[in-house]
Amino acid sequence: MMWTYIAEQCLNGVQLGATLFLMTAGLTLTFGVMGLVNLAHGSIYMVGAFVCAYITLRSGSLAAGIASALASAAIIGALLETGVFRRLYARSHLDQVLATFALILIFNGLTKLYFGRQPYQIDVPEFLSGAVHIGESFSYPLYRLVIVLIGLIVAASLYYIIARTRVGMLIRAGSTNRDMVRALGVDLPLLFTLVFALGAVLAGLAGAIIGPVQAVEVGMGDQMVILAFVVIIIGGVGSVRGAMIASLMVGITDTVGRTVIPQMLKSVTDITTASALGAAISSTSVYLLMIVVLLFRPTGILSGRI
Amino acid sequence: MNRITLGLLALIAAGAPALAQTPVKIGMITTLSTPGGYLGEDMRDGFMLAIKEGGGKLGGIPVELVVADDGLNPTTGKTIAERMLQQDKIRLFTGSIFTAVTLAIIPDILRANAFFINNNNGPKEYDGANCKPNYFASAWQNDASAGSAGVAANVSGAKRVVTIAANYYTGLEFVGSFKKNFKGQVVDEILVKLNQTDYAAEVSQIKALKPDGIYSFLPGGMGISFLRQLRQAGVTGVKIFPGTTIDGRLMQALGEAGKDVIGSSNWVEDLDNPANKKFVAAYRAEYKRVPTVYAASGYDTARLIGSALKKVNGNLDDAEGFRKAILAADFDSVRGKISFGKSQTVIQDWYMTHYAVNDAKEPVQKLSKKIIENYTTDLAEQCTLK
Repeated sequence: MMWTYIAEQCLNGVQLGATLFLMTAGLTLTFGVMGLVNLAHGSIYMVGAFVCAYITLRSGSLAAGIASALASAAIIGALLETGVFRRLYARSHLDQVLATFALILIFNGLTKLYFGRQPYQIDVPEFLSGAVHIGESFSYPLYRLVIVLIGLIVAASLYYIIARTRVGMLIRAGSTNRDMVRALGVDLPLLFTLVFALGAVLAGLAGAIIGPVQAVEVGMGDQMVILAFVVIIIGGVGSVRGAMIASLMVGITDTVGRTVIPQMLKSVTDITTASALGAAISSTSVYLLMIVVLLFRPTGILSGRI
Repeated sequence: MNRITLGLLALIAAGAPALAQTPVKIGMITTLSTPGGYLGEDMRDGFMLAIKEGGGKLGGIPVELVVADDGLNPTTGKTIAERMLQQDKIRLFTGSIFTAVTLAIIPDILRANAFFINNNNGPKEYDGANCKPNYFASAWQNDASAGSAGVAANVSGAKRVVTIAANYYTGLEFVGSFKKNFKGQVVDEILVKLNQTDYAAEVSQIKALKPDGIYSFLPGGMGISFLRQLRQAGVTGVKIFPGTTIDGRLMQALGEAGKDVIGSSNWVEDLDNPANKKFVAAYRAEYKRVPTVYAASGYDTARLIGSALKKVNGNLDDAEGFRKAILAADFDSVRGKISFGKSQTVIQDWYMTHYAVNDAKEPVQKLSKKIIENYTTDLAEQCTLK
């Protein structure tokens, strides 16, 4: 009983890590390659979720919903890059934070205007609903396993693109020495737009596939983006592999911290005190992890490496 | 010189219609943004419906509703209250959705001798010995909202309950009220971050505990995410007691995942009284969406204010007269019979609800039965107001 419970919680952590990875993969590239702090990344996640929910409800097909979410995320990503972010690369991080924070407010406002304030919900498609049973006492929602699988597939293909293709080589070169790449005659603006659109697609995908699990509501990306930055710092800015490892670490730490710490406290004090104390401690667990990692590796686990 | 002339012109322009007909200004500080924004939207729309029905008047007195969004931020709420008091000279306030904002805006309003009619939350800080002559809780005292969930759990026979609540002041307060009223065993108390979206860890915990009921205080989208994830993990048949935190709009968003929800509320859409029938039909026609307890509260408060304005002929300077008129609650409430208790907090019945699908194939909360008659808070007697 105890072991299946721990296994289930670890799986929960892995699943949270997979969603986090989809969010951070794009963010770490834009941060690493273009040096841009983009707080509005969470807004693209939100747009992905809303478009997917809206189209799914209209058409009755989750696949159509996800496809249109990806398309709109790519378009918005490319438009934002050419229209807004391109002017911000040379600016200080503070200016970037200000501008992208403004974008969050604009996106939240527009989403509210267009989709309304009420949270949306879409259902898990019939063939993906239900739970997977392993043995007598262990069961896990199938859809969550699919999310983990999608995370793994994306990680593998992203790794392939960056390590094995020409575009990936340029991205790697761009993240270490931007000026040299430009001097070699590479069309950097186009490359940046591509990288940005790719990151936006991944954020949109994260939003789209999370729709059947969570409430789709205005501001849903704002909480994710904070965790995403923690992941990037832990993993090392610009490193996709680092982002993958850090996502899993953060996901598992957060999940296990949330359940194990209050449980342990309950053996020493009464339920009410234990839950209050445990909640307070576990909400800092992710940040404690960040501090510990930075003590030993000040630039993150895999800084400078793809 | 020019500026003075302009200023004079502006004064005349502003004063002219005021001389003809002075509308009573009502300040509505409510939450319209953030995920909780739909609550304020319903509150405002319910209130405006009552004004519309009166042709711009409440109780025959012309009114002007000034709405502002507090963004679920106590500091913003306080700034708005100060502006409305000093610049707009507003003397009558209502509309706050979240307790945190309410607690931040009340002191300024009361210090200025203005009125505050609390039509959503009722912090116990203003109940009992701390009651104030210009403060009225027309929706409920917070203790009642969570307490009713405890009674609903008793009535539906739950024995082992897990509580899950957002970890902030109100969440802790609500869990306390639930435990005070629930007679069975609370097997675990789970606290989650405010606005948490993923509940996989908590769902696994609950699955391992095998409770027969869950008290949940997860407002807005938090509740949707939690209940759907619970169902996806195969946990069905465990009764959910959310008190008033699951409303009509959330039921629609939940769909099938709302099947185990046993709500408890001071108002239900199918309450059988003429005022409610009229309200539900008018609200659905006007806004094309399901009315919530927040919309009903906005509508009821507007008509409560109307009944009092009528008695003092729109003159808020007659403070004692207006106070007595509010306390008389001389109007047909959509909640049926209501009255005000000693601490100027509403006394009313509470109902239990269950999941059902209405004629339009929408999932709704249907009235099961009355579970509390004339709920009065246990602090009310300590109030010394006459």
